[in-house]
Amino acid sequence: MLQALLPLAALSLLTAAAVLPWPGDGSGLMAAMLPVFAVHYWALRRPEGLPGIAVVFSGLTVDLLTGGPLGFWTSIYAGAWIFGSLEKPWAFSAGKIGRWGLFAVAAGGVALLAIVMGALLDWPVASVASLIGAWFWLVALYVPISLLLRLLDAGWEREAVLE
Amino acid sequence: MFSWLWRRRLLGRSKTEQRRSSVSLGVLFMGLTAAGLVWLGQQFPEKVAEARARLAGPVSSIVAALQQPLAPLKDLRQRYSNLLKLEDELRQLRAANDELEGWKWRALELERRLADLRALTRVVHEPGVDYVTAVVRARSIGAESNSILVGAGARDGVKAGGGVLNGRGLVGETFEVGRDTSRVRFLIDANFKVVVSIGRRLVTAVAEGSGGRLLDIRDGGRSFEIADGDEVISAGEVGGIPRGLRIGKVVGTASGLKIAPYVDFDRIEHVSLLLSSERRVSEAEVGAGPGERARVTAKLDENGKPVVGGDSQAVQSP
Repeated sequence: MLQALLPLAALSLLTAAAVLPWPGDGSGLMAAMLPVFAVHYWALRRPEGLPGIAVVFSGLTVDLLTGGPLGFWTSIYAGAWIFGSLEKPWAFSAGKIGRWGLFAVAAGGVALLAIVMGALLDWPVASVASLIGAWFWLVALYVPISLLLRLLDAGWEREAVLE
Repeated sequence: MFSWLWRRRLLGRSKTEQRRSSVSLGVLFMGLTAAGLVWLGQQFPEKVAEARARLAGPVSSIVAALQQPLAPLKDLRQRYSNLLKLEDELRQLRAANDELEGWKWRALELERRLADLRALTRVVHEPGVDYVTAVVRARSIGAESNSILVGAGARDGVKAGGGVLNGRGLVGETFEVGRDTSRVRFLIDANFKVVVSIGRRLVTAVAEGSGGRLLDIRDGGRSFEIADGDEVISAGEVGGIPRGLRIGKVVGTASGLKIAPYVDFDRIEHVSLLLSSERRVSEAEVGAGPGERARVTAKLDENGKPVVGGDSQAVQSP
């Protein structure tokens, strides 16, 4: 039961962290990218645990509280979910390093999406340099965060083997 | 009928095909929802802003509850960030302290003279300004958007266009005022403008946010009287930001003179929102808000800081 609720709980917690007024220049962008971890992690491993509507609500919450254009962060998180879903066929066979690589590709795609959407909506979320920096940190932080989520979500690999 | 057909269609396929169909549906749903929201935001910006102001209060209350476990983490980040700046600040403070010691005797002398002059001229004292202090609930994310969401709204007497300050000086003005929350536009936001007085000669000019870290100066043709290092205070606007609030200092840049605000916009946790002068806090209203709000009726000194003691009165709601 608890394991079933874990994706939603983790996404809610990371969404709350995303809108927290963190001190420091550029920390807002990094914080807003935090839900991307949860969205991609479960889209890749257990998409049935994280329904699309939850991802939309998470994005809407960040849109609502951070004052950006409606749909901006919803699109970013939806992008992470779509990347995760498309990468799913390779999720198990890729191994740990491979999954890290899959996340790096997804995070890069999401950063690119942020640039494109910023240009389309005339609302640049950050400079290209800041987005590259955010991508780098996202990829670096993936290791500890995915380890933590894996500990909490024990048994996924066993189920994947049985499948 | 549709769902029956759909289930029948799915059952007729292999597991891999079913998964592919479900992924395709998910991708379609997410893509269309995101695009639909963006379209709504672009087509009906006023209605979206109205709904945002109305929903921000309840949603931020729910999110605030979820943020409780994250508070120690945020404190840790804050401490680390403070530590990095501490050494530099200490050096600056020592230098400033030496300078202030020299100015201290001068201030005392001027204060004595001012008291004498006031007694002679019978200056009418201006009424105090009411304000509420609120916690910052969320911060905007965007290269050119500079705003925060604070936990005080129309219920507390906040109106759009009111001044917002913290211990360092003027932070900005309110807009999108909801029932329990308001959005505060920073001084440095590209849409912010304020009439200011600059330097000892009190040159009146308009300070405009540039989207960067400094404010542009649109002067009234007296720019030759403005110099690097001049103090900038608000000049006062009817129904808007009152006179005398500290804003920043004039700094010289390659593109001319600009204003460097005193407020560190990356480290704002609490702000005071000035209320309209005709409103006074009634006993019934005091303590009606959430625990994080403090309602204060106090006088502000000429630097825009609350006067401690005297006739000030602070009430912290439970």
